[in-house]
Amino acid sequence: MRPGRVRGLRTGPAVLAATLVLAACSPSGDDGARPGEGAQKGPIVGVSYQALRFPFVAALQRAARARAEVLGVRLLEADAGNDAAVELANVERLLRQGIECLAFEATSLDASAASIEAANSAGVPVVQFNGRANGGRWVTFVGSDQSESGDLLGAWLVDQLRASGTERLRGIYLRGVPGQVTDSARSTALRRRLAREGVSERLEILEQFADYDRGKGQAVTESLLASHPDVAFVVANNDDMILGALEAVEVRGLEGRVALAGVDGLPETLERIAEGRVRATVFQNPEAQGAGAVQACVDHLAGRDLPAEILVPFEIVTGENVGRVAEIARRVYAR
Amino acid sequence: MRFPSRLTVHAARERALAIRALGLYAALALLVLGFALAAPAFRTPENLFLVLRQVSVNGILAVGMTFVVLTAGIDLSVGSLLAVAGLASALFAQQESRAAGVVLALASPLLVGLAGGALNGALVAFSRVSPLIVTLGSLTAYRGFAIWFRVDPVYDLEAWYRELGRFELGPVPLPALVFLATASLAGLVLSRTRFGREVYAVGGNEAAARAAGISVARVKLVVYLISGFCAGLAALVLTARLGAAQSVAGQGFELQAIAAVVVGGTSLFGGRGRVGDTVVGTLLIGVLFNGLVLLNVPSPVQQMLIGAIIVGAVWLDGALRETEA
Repeated sequence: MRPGRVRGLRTGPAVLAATLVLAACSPSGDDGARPGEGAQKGPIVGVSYQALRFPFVAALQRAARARAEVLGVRLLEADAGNDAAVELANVERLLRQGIECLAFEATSLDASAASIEAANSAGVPVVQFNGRANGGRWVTFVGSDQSESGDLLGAWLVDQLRASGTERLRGIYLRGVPGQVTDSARSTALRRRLAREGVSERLEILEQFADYDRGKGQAVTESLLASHPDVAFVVANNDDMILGALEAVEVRGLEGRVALAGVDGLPETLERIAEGRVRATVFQNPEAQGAGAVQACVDHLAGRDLPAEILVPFEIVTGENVGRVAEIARRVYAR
Repeated sequence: MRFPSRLTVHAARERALAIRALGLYAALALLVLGFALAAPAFRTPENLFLVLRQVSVNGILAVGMTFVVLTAGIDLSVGSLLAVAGLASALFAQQESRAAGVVLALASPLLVGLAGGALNGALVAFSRVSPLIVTLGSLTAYRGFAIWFRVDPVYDLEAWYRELGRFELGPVPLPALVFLATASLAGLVLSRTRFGREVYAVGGNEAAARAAGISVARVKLVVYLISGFCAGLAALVLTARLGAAQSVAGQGFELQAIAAVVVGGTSLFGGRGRVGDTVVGTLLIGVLFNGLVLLNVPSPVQQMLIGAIIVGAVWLDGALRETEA
């Protein structure tokens, strides 16, 4: 596995001293670390990641490691590689290694239940984060409601329509993978928002699946721009596809005339937003989720009560707030 | 069993290929005509060049794949190898445009492709493991390497590099030119050189080729080198076109390339096929994708149609061969 370095964190070399002088070194942002109890002899927390080959998951890992370092937690990590069978084998290994809490990012809605049940029968508490499985018992879920991202994307579209001052607007909606849970949630919520605002009829949306893939997002956009030169916007269910669409738009010399918006908040998209080439993205916060999972484990072990869900809100990013969000992204995404 | 003379076999093979190719051209013509009638935007010359631009990556991979399939081999690793080569190229293309950076950004994907192809070729040629297994292994291993090497995408590439993906010579996009030049060169090698004849001989009957004094191992090694080189070239084109490289790039590209080769009529059993027909096979799939998107047909339906065309092409191939016999 590629060792992920936590770059850009403010902890720096102070980390060694931090176990002694914890107060000096609280990470910026979100809910704030609560150092203290675990300082002398931190608990061992197991983390099962969905697939570290996804940059977003790698970012979750950096955030989890950074928080573990601050809290004096020893992490034992495992990469499921998006395979529920590997995931179960990993979790069984972690349980044998004596973890006291399992921070669990599910690969699958149903198949991952086996891993949670394995932890249940070993008497090890489970904190789910980012991806949630249905089955077994868990302490809390730290993550985002994917419908919220679709809703925010829909709200952005409504704003575009109102700002355009025109009666009708035509655009492209790049979907991810047919039948995939996140894709369905985002799409349903986006449509619902348009219906609620009463603008469904005024937006003519050409919808195509592009598998969350940059190249396919580009190819689909190229073809649709050729047949519909009056396209005014492209929205996508992830940032990779909108970055592909950006390339297609710029090759046709349509920059500035086609408004682009995605979901994720990858560093590259944030740079394009700062440059004014992409209008918006819906930021999904890996720092709050990765750090939050480790924090929830520590809190639970310390006997604190936790809500059933610790929701990490999505946030629409435009030119106005891109600087602040880019700060977070810089901390958790490698460059 | 009668043994027909070499000349008769050759003539019959040529005739079968010609009939098969006619069917292929007719299918492409029908498809183009159908889309031209159904979608006005399809008819524009601009869209023709868009199709060429869009098929260039798959086309380059399919040209390399044709060599391998002609020897009755298969190269499943090209998509993974493309990802590694793309990352190498992009990392050099991120740097300032000093001469060394330019040379390395252009040369590194090709060298990575050759290295990956050499490993495949050596294993196929000198071990007794089948090409399917060897390249299934390298498909997994090269992808693993790409992800281990770099999870996060490489972007912010130098302007000159981006221009490679956007440049047009007159109306013709540079990626399309690279594709057509590669295909032309491959066609010449296969039809006009001693090596080309050896490729057909090895695929047609390996034992006979060996008896005729052909170094079967060398021919096999070289076809995987060619396929690897094409994967590197395709990586260069794709990375320049996208303006970024990702370790997840190229997943499933091997199947698209094999589809183009098979639709083009090259036999998976080796010894029979032409690069020119692979180009037509690539275009057929590309036109289908482009036209269906223009008509806003949902992508699951696109997949069903492309799948049907692949099976239909092979079925047609078999049917035509039976009428020959």
